[in-house]
Formats: sequence, C-alpha cells, structure tokens
Amino acid sequence: MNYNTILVNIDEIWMKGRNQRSFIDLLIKHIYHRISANHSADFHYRRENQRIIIESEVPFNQDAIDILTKTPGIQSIDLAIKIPLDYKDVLPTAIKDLESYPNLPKTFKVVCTRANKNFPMKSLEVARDIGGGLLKHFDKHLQAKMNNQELTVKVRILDTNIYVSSQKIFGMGGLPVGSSDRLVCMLSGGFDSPVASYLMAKRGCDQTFIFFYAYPYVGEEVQDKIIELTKVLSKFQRFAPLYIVPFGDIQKKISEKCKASYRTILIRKAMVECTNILAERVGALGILTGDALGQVSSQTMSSICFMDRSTNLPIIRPLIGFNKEEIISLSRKIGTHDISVRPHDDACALFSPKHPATRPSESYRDYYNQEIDIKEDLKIALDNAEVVRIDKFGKTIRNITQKQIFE
Amino acid sequence: MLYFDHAASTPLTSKALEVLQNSFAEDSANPAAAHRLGKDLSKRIDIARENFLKAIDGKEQYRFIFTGSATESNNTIISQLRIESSRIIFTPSDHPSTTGPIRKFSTIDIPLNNGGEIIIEKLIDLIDESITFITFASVNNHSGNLHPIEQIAKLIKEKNNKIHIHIDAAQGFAKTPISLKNGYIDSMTVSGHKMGGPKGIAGLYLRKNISINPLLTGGGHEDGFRASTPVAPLIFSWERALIDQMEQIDSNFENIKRLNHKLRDDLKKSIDVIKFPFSLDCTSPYILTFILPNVSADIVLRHLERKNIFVSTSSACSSRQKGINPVFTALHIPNQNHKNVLRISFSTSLCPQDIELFVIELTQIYNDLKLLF
Repeated sequence: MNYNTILVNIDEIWMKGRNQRSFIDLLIKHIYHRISANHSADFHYRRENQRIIIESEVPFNQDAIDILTKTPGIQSIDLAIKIPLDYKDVLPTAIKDLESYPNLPKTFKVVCTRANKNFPMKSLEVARDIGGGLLKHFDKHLQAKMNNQELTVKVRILDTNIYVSSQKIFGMGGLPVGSSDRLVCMLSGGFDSPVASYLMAKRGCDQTFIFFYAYPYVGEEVQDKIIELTKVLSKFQRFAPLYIVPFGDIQKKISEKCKASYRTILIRKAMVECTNILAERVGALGILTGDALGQVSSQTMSSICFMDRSTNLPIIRPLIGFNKEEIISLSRKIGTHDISVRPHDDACALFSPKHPATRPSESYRDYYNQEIDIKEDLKIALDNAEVVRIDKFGKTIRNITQKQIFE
Repeated sequence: MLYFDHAASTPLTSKALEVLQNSFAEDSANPAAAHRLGKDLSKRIDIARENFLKAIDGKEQYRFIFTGSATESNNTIISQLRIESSRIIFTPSDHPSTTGPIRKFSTIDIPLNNGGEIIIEKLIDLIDESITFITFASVNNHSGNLHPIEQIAKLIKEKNNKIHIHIDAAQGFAKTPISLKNGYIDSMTVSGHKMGGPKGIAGLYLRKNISINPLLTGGGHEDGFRASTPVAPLIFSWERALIDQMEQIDSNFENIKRLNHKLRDDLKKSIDVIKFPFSLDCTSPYILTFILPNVSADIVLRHLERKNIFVSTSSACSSRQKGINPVFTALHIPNQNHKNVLRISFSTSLCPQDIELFVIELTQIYNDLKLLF
C-alpha cells in the first residue's frame, strides 16, 4: 500500500507544558534530518493538534518508516492516506488500504475522531457507516468487534483533510535528541555500552562517543567493530562523532608503575579522566558507561565509588540494575548484538591481572597519584584522536576536523 | 626499514625492475598478432620459456605454461580431479591454494614428524592402488621444511606409477636445487613474486604426455593450456630474476644459511626460552619459524612494525577467531603455542648487521611484554 502521509504521535507530550514548543522543534529537526536522507522526493511537515504530520506526493518507503521507529521522542506513527474533506472518498480508501494486507486480520473496529467541528457528520455516524461498508465489501472475511480487535481502522477528520489509517507502528518513545544534555559515551566492543547509549538516546541525550584504542596491543580490526557499532547507534542520534583515542602507551605506562592488582581499575580511571577532558571540550555534562553492578571486578560498589571520585561529572550508568540476559536481549532488539558478539582483541582483558582488586583503597589512590602524572599524556592522546563521523546516509567519514562534525 | 617477510612476497630485483619498466614502455604489441611486432614478442616469450625449462632440467620431458599466479597453477591441476574417482594424499600444513580446493575430496594426510619432515616409509606404506593423486610443497611456507622431492617421487612411482604427483615449488624454486630430469614428478607450480620477480606471473610445469582441461579457454594461448594474452613485460622481468638467481643459487644458499644460523644463535642467547621447532638440517634457510612463549605473536608483530621491522605471523589468526590453527596442528606445534608463532624469511639483501639490529629490538620488545603480561 502506498502511504503518502505519516502521522507522528509524540511521546510524553502532555508532560511538557511551556516547553512543548521547543521540544517539538527538536523532534521536527531530527525527523527532517532523517527523512531527507531516506526519502528522495520533496516532503513537508506541519503541526496539527499536537501531532506532526509528514506528507509527500511520493509514498514513503520502508527505510523512511524504519528510521522513524529509531527516532527518540516518537511514541508511534500511523501510516495514513490523506484525502480531501469529502466523505465519499473515505470508504473506497479504507477498502484499498485493507486490500493491501497480505494477511488481513479477522476482527476489526472503526474509530472516527473529528477535530473539525464544522464537519456535517458526527464521529459515531462515520464509524458505523464505514464499518458497515467494510463488512459488506469483505463479506465473510471480516468481523466487527468492539474490544480486543486485531485491526483498528482510524478515520481522522481534521480541519483541512481526512486521514484514513490502519497501521500503527510503535516507536522508541522517550524524549527527542537534544532535549536533555549531551553526554560522552565510553564505547567498548562489548554488549553493554551500546545498550547504555540507546537507553540514554531514548531520554533525549545526544552523545559524543569515545573509544580507547590500545594499539599495538590490539590490531586495527577492533576499530572496524567499534565503527560498525557507532553506525547502528548513530541512527538514534542526529550526529554521532566518534573519537578514537590512542591509548596503548598510556596503558603500558600505568601498568609499569602500579600494583598488578590495580591495573584494570587504574586504566579505567585514566579512561574516565580522559573522557572528562573530552566532555569539557564538547560541552557534555555527563559521562555514560555500560557498567552493571557486579559483572566484573571493576564494577563492584567500591570500585564504582573509586571511579566516581576520579571525575567531577556524573557517571551515568543506565544498566546498573540490569541482568546480563536483559542486556543481551536489548542488544538484539536494537541491532548491536551481532556486532558485539564478534570476538576481538580486548585490551582490558589483556592487561587484567590474575587477582584484581575488588575493593580499591583510597590510600593507594593517593600514593598512585603521586607516583604518576598522566594528565599531559591524556591531553595529548585526545589531541591525537582520530574523529570519525557517520553522516545521515550512513556513510563513514574518517579523519574529520572538529568543524566538520556537525555538518 | 627491515623487511623479513620475503616468504610472503619479495621486492623486485633492480635488474628485474629495469627490464619490467623498459618492456612496459616498448613491448606493447600483442604477442598473438600476425605482424612482425607480435611475432618478435612471441619468439622472445618462447626463449623465456626455454630458460624456465632449462632451470629444472626439463627441456625434453616437460612443457612450461605461464599463468597469473601460483594459486592459479595449483587450481589448474586440482580442478582436473573428479570427486568420485579421486583419493588424494596431501598435507594440511601446505598453502591454502592447494589445501582449499582439495577440501572436498577424500583425503589422507602425509605423515610428518615433530620436526615437520615427511616420514617417507610411512608415506610409502600409504600408497596403494586406490590412490590417484599426491601433492605437497617442496619447501613448506610455514615451517621451511625442505623435502627431498625427487627421492620421494621416485619411491611413489615405484609403488604405483599411475599416481599423479604435483609439487608446489613456490618457496623452493630458484632458491633450492630442483631437477625434474628423471621425470617422476608430473606437475610443478612456481611463482614470480617469491623470487625477486614481479607479482601477477607464475608458471606450471607439466609433463608432456599429460593432458588437462584448461581453466581458461578461448584464445588458444600457451598451446591451448591457458587462454589469455601473455604479459610480456612480466615474463621478461621474471626471466631476468630467474637467470640472476640461478647463477648464484649455491652461493646465495650458503649466505642465507649463515644468516639463518646467526639469527638462531643470537636469538637463543638473548631470549633463552625461544624455541626452534624446525631444524636447519631439514629446512630451507630462507625461512625461519620460531615460538616465543608467553607473548602474543600479533602483539610482537605490531611492536616490531612501529620500529619499521616487518615479520610474519599466521594470517589466519589476526582478524578472525583466535583459536587453533590447523596448519600448525599438522606441523605438530602444540595448541597452547599457536598464538606464539613468528616467521622470519630472508633474502640476499639482508646482512649480518640487520640480524643484530633485529635481535636487539625483538629482545627489548619481548622483555617489555614479559613484564607486562
């Protein structure tokens, strides 16, 4: 079926009060950004009755529809056909829509909403009439049902047009990207951090990604994996710059100076400190990680306290209460599972000691801070980071300048 | 820069490069053309062919077919085999261009001892009427093992003279002495870029009384054995490299042997846990494979490349699943060492100082990594 109109229903809109306008503005910007990359013809959008309506002469393809389900802030979309304010076209349109279903459900109900108070018919009248017409046309196949119906045919009579729709697709929900503050997301190649990124995108946090590249302890292939993950995650964002920070020498320096059992946690500490510097540079107000409590030694409560004291910024850990199974299941849903599952050289595992410290001591931290000052090394590593961008068409652009990030 | 990966590919010798450049500039006719330019080129190509046949004493009994790569040469022979009627003896320790296409057949492994040598009596025991095809490399590209191919071929033919014997001589040709004058070997693959010649040219020796269905047909080139316009510049360049190498084959061998020996000694002195599973007695000195216990070969390789020193680890390991390498298993390298294997391969462009520098760098890297891990 060719749908020339998409009705976008906005999530949590009732909560927004005075902020509604800017909220919807952000959502529209994001939708425009995405549809323009996935729809070859002209299209326009407008606001009507707390919805966003996107229309085009050329029907929207599956890519455009899919990308909207990955746009935070959208509760659901209705795929509709727009017709003029002429009642006689409603039934034929509804029939055509239902005929396009490969497996038409058995039970249905017609719902009519009428925001246009000048329209000659009442909602219930329309619903009964159209319902009757559909029953007659589809004869034995369809059955009217008032509750738990499989199919809902919606006729919306608005001020300028009538919209007939039956397909509702649920979106991510949440808040539009940019309506919450920016975070820097620490990406590893595992299951956790991409899921964490998705969860915060859903709450409207746009993100800058950072990956610590431990060459020569790992090979270049690990970069490909991270970039592929970023590609998937970039669909939930407007811009998703990825900073690949050379970290091999820093990891070596730390390992040479510290107690073996503290290696993992002190390397993580250095990563957090480096992420902090990047956050300051890009105006982010928090650090986002995929930590879940108790998964590995560096994720005990005391390790978490240790880490939090290494930065002024809040460390956001949306997975803190998740079980591993739940995380893996979500990763399948968002499309990162098959990338995360690929084996790769894990620098953290490589450097990890046989008996890692699970309750790191603050006095050792003070001693360590005196022994080694890597602040300059972290700044230099960040200066030397390669910046990768995924453009709105999904193309990877490497080695870009800071200015080009937001083009 | 120190380049120790000649078994993967060698740079062109300066004379071969010169011939290549001149020929690309001047020899632009098609050797199959009816006019003088074409005919002259065709004659020169035949002269090159003669030189390749002379190099292995094969003028009377063999033909030599130019191909695009050693992989193509191996594939050409293996594609003649039919699954229903073939029983094949091969070794999984050989190059993928043979082990790959052979995978679908019913096969028996060539018995190797712990030093990678073919156990000849056991191999001959495996020969019976049902075997139709046997293939192995004259020099193994991973271990460097140098097999006495003529001796083995003779024993095989004596037991069953219907078996087709195919030798992959990509690593051994023009570096180790090879002679086909006794005619026991049925076909043999050689490669250009493993011996100072250009990439994109290789060859297949085939005994004259053997007929095959060519992989490439149409133009009738190479006597109908391999259709494609022969690339004259690549052929002449390779010919130049061949003549130069054959002239010095013995002295080169001795020089390389000295370098190999020195490297083994110096490494043993600086890194006492280093292991050399394949002895200099039974390998080509051009290839030296060793095991560095407790450190990952991939990490060592990346540290070396930062110093502009280039060596080889097994290509199967780096980007795919890190696990057991079947080539190493066939060579009797213990499973726990599969990630510790490094390969050094030499050319005559290297000198003792290069060896010394390499030992210093590798030792430093090894000691650093040992401390960390």
